[in-house]
Amino acid sequence: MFRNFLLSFCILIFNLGLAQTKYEKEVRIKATEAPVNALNFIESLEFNRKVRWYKEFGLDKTSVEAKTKYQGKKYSVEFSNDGSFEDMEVQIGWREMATSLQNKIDEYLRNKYGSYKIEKIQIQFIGDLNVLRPIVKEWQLSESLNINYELVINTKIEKSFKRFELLFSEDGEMLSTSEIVLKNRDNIEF
Amino acid sequence: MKRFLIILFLTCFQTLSAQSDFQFGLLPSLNFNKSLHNEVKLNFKLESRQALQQGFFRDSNPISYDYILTDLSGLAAKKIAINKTVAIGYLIRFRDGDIVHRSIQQFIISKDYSGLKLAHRFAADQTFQKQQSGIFRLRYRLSSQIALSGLNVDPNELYFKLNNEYLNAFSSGDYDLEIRLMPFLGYVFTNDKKIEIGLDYRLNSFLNDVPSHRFWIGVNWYQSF
Repeated sequence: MFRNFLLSFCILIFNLGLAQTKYEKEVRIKATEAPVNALNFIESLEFNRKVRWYKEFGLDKTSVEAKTKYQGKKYSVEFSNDGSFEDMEVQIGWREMATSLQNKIDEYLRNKYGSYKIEKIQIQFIGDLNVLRPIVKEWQLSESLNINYELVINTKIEKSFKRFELLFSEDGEMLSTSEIVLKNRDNIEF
Repeated sequence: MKRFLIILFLTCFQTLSAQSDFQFGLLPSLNFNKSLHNEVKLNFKLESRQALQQGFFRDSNPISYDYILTDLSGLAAKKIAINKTVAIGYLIRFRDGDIVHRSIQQFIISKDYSGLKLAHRFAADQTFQKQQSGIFRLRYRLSSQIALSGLNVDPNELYFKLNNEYLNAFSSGDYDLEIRLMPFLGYVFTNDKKIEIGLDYRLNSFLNDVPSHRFWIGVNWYQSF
């Protein structure tokens, strides 16, 4: 009995040590439902295309997100419920990353997963809200910003296809991994 | 663009002219999906066709219930990449006391975008029935699913689905093209239960004969195990 319990406990701890499962649910909201300071900040960036607002529900927190496209890049700016800035993510291509960073991330992914395919890369900016404007307007990166890279990859583990979201630091150190649960597509496939 | 739309409108209007025949009815279906190991999935489908009104557009056609057929099909699908699936299957059709047999092969490519899922289905099927020529079909279907709230379709949320399919049918040297357009409104109860209600419109025999229009009110139930 105790042996079974111990075995179950070990399996549980082992599973927790592996990648967490990512749970997120977004609901579209009107701009008027967004926090005023978040709305003011986004308006000050003068995006020239429509900004879509979403309320995002995670397992342990909710946030508000503004999404738009500007100068060919997809932007996603996340705020807390009270309108405090959390991060800004901009979709980029693999070749837009420094070669040394590409090599380090590629080495990590090959060692961890073998073969993989990148689905999406976002550069994530965390820091002072005021230094974000030059990034948006002129793509000038400031040293006062904390920069991370978020990658979504597809891979195969034990004969099953999996999708993961990985966060790397500016130096290519892996910070976190979460598995993205693939949605059922039976109704459009069969 | 404006001219193209006018021509398209006139073409549609002409095909719906008095000469055309039509059927209107119900097309409910039950879909059961079971995931197995190694990315293999089984799909079972039960579908029934019932007409409520039929005839030529020019005539006044009374509403009368007419049971047409029932299809029972099974597919075995294997995911060969995260967004690519191959499937083979078999369909048995019960119609007017006869049994029709159909073998099916499919190749599906799907792609996820923000708020939108697309699936391209390339398929072939071979239909056999006693004392009748075989029918061989090559099909292409584009399916799109749009989330109506948020970027993904989550439980307790609605979505819009639009299917557009082109079926090339070959039988005894004859060729016919069938075009299908299926707008559906769907609702996800849980990750493994969803329902769709909409129109399944089918147009065929317009190349060489009197166009035939079929309008089915579809109700699809999807259950995964």
